[in-house]
Amino acid sequence: MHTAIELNGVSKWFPGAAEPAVHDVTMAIAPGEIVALLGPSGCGKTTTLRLIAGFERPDTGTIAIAGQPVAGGATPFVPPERRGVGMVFQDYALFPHLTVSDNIAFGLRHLPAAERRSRCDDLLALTGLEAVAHRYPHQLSGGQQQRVAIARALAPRPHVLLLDEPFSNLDTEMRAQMRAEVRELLKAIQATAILVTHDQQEAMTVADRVAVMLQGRIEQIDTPDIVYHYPATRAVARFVGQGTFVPARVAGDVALSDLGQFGLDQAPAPQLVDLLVRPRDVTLEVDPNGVAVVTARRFNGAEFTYLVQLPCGVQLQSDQPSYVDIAPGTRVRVRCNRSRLAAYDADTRIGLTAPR
Amino acid sequence: MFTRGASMPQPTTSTGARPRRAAREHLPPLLVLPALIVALLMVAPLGYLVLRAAAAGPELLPLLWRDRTLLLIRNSLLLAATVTAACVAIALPLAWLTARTDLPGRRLWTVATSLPLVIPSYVGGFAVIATLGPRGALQSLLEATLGIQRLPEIYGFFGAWLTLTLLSYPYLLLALRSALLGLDPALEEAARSLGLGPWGTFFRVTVPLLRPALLAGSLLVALYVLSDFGAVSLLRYDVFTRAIYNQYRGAFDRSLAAGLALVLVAITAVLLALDARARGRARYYRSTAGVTRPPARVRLGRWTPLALAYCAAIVTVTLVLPIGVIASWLVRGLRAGEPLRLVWSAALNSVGLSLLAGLVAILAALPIAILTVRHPSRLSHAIERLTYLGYGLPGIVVALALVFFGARHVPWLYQTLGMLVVAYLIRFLPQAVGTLRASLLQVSPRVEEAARSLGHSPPRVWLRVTMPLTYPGLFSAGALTFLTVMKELPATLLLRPTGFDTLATQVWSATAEAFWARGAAPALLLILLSALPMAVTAWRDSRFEP
Amino acid sequence: MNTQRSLSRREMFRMMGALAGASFLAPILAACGGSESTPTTAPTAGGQASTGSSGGATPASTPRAATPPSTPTGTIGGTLTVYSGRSENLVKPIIDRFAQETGVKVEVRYGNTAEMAAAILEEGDNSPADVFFAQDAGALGALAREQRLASLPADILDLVEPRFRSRDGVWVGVSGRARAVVYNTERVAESDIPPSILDFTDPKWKNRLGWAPTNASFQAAVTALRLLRGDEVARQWLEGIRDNGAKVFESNDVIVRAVINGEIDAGFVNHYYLHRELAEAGHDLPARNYIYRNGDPGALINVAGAAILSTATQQEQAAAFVRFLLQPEAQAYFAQETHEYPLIPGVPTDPNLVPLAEIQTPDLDLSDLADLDATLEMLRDVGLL
Repeated sequence: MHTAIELNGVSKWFPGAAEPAVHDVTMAIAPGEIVALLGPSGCGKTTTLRLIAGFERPDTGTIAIAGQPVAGGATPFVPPERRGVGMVFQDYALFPHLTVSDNIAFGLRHLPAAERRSRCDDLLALTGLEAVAHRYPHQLSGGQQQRVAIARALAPRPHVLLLDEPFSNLDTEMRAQMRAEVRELLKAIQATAILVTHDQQEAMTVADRVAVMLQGRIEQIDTPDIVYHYPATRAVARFVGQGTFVPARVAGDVALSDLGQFGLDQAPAPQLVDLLVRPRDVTLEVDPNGVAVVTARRFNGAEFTYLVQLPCGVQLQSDQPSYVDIAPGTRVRVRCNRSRLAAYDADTRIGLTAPR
Repeated sequence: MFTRGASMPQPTTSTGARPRRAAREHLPPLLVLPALIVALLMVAPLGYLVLRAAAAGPELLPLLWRDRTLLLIRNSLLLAATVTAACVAIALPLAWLTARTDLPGRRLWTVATSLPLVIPSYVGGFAVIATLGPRGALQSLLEATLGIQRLPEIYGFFGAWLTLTLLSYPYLLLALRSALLGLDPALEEAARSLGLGPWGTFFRVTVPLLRPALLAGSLLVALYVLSDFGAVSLLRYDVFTRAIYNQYRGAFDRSLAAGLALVLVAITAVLLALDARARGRARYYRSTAGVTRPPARVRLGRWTPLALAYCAAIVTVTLVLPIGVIASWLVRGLRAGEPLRLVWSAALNSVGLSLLAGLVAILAALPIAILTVRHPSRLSHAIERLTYLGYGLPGIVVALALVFFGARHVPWLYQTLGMLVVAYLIRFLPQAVGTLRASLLQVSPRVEEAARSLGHSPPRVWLRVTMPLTYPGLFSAGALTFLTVMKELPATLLLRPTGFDTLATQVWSATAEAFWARGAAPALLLILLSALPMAVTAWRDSRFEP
Repeated sequence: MNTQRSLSRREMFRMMGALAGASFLAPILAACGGSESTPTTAPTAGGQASTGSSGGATPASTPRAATPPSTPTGTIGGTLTVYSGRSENLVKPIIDRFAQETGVKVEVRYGNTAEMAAAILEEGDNSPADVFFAQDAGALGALAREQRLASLPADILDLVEPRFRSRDGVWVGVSGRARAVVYNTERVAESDIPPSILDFTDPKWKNRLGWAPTNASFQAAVTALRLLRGDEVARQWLEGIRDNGAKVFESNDVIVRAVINGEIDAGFVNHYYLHRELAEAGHDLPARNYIYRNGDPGALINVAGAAILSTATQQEQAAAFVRFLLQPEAQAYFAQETHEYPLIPGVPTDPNLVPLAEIQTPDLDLSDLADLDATLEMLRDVGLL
């Protein structure tokens, strides 16, 4: 069983830039898998996507699609039109001079007319666009345009679907709906897909695996929950979601912190480590003897976000259900409700801890 | 034009977004090869001039190294600079009025103010003299009413400046109008919200945003001024073209003419370099290519009559007057018993040849435009810059260069329509390249990439996506070339197939013999026929406005 | 009378030619002891004589008369390429006649004389041109200087007075233009015109004159002045006229119109531009020519001429063509159409013209006028070029 996509040591320099835009990227994607490339703007994720699509040539490394080498190494460069990739652009890049069905049928010219029509109809049905089949792109809503873009990319049955920030042009509500829809659709047809996004929530919702990209490198590639709770580096931790680093002193195989004691699963460890605490990893209990003090409270629509001052000087962020109502100034006890937390030395995760 | 309707945020800068894709990218040979061939053609006049000047050897230098050459440089630059400035002054308000206000009848004004481009400078020059010259129409009027005997001297700098300004401002108008229509209104609204008044916004935001269009239009105007012979000769202002023609016509001194032309080439090169510098710095000003939202039209209110008067005055002076003067010659001739001579075969020749040249110009300009927009590199920019070389040279130089190479090296092509079309390419290609470039910039490269990812090869992508989207630009480029070729004279005269008459050569042969009345009918027909595609372009473009 | 209107130009010149032949030509040519060409026109003249004098205006009679089958040149055939600096309006009818008479297919390129001369020079040995029909002797001289012209047959040269042809026998004049002073009759009386063109430097002509220093005819006139009176006199004259505030014009016709509309009082031109204006706008125009006849440098007569290229492939046809231009028929036609002087004797001219014989031209070889270099240098020095 070959991989759907395989990148091996791929780098890409742009002229005049001191650092490569894509730095030694290696990853393999299995057929039917959805992978999100997550990173801040300028991290090289779109370039990686364009390298796979064939709009850029790698300076080093090799790329293979469905087992076939397409760039780098000894193989001649395979142009985008012969790679069997479908691409959904951030601005959709719909052909403004063609109707919805003509847009969708655009990549089907090799098929006989009848088959082309039936394939197009299937996709219109799949994406719920039957009613607007004969409209032009500018007559569609944003969500409809996006569905057209996806239908068009899927029509030629590509080996892999590449989505470049596909939800960024939608409003919040539509975005949530489309994420779910798109994942469902991709899973239904068992498509292999790479999604580029800067939005961690989007990456987590849609993808089977998330690759976090920072400054041209893939820092971590793993399932969403691992990436969220056990980021490989502090940088990943900072980029993916909210959280607080709570310092802990290491004594033997135990880390002592204001949140209590945690057993280290890996020793030896440095003298000091930081524990990554996500806002929902802790509960607050009003306790006049508690060492922590609530300093601020913010209502975010569904929950309260509390800021809690710890004795060690760190301000901990904690999300609590809205029925947990604690006034600022109140002393509280902070209790960790996860079985394991990630612990970091200067930069990278050195292991996991379990509360004792 | 479709791009405006679809809500697609476009890449913010052409140059800003592109360079990262240019990294050691293999330039497509399908584009580079034809572009290089065209570029090679463009160098032909330069090669000829160098050969000619070299034949004279070092004796040429003292002839060139004279105060008079300095005077010519001064005069040429002065004329180019002042005409360009005046064109900006005329075109900017016109562009704004027709593109951004509720001016009544703005589509008609759009068409009418673009049309002076179709009037040949040798006709426009006559019209200015007939109107403002000694004992001209204005003088007669003033003498009858106010008893004024003499008007200020029209000949010399003033007349040449006036004529060239009136004839060439549409180059700037066209560029500025389409740039204004493409501006993102959010930028101007942001300026207003930051406390700038309407004037402050116009000068501190709108005008800087128009800078690329201003530069492109100004370059066309300045080089047109440098290469024009008709107006400066009729109005007797001593610039390079006139000096060069005089060497050929009065002195048969081809070497000195070549020497002078090389100095002119140097001036052109300096202008191009200046433009490239200014363009380079202006890159971040380029507006988004498509707008998601039409800009609100400014209500002119009580200023409407003034605006209308301005437009009417410009159209009267630049269009009605020259046509009126020619028409009056026609009437005078007919009254004097001169038969109405319209040689339809000449009209047919003119139209057919200009259509052919327009088509070939589009084909030749396309690879260059695509290269510079989609694959910017040193090579593609060098090629684009090269196309301006022939545009800045007087027609006679280009024509003689082709006589030289044609008769000696490709006699089978010499004095054929093919040769003539090559001459037109060398003379006018930048017009087509510029128009196509602007139009290509409106098409998001993402759209082309989408087509490629759907399995279409680059040529097919061009055919099925880019061309339909740039169709208006293709048409404009063709129309612009069509009308310039319709009125072109020096190369047509020297290179046409024997016996091949066009309207321009007919006007020439009549006026060269001072038979004004006889030249009037073909001149009017020439203007009318050139105006048609131009009018269609302007009318159609204005239809797509909000 | 309505047929009169539709008389074509061609018919008109046939009539002229016929008349010329009838009244003057045969005897004079015969008297000249002319060459083979003499009998050329004799039958024409003879045939025409009976109908010509009385009923010459009837169009029906002319074609018969003008196309005698007995043209000695006979049917030559072949093709000939002519580069004509003279305009199509003017030259086409006469070329059609030539083609008709000789069966030679003539390809004519029309253009500006000097530009065509430059083109012929640039074309080099591959030039398609056989004959160059030039507006002025200067352009012919330029080609002669670069050895691009072939020697003409003696019989052609002999048709024209030596003063109107190349000394080297490489070009021949076809029609003549006198230098003239055109003046506005409302502002200048004929008696005010000074006895020599040199006297126009007098301050009383301040700001009243016009000239065209870039015009080839003017430059030829300056060359003549230099050759006749020396460079110093020529330079002083140029500076004098310049300092007298003479207005610079691009061409002769503009000067004539400037005189007519009173922009200037007088100008240095060729004689025929005024006659053309008079023909177009009527004799009420307030302008007339003054032509020097006294051998003054102002009394120059320059020519439009023809030459055969040294690279011509059709030498026989080319010679026939040049010869044809000097036949009475063609000569009469030019006189009629352009108000220029015919260069063979006996052709009737515009009665308003001072007869050629009365003009004593300065003693000068027109071939020398081709050498413009020194003149141009002088004009540049004086600041006129």
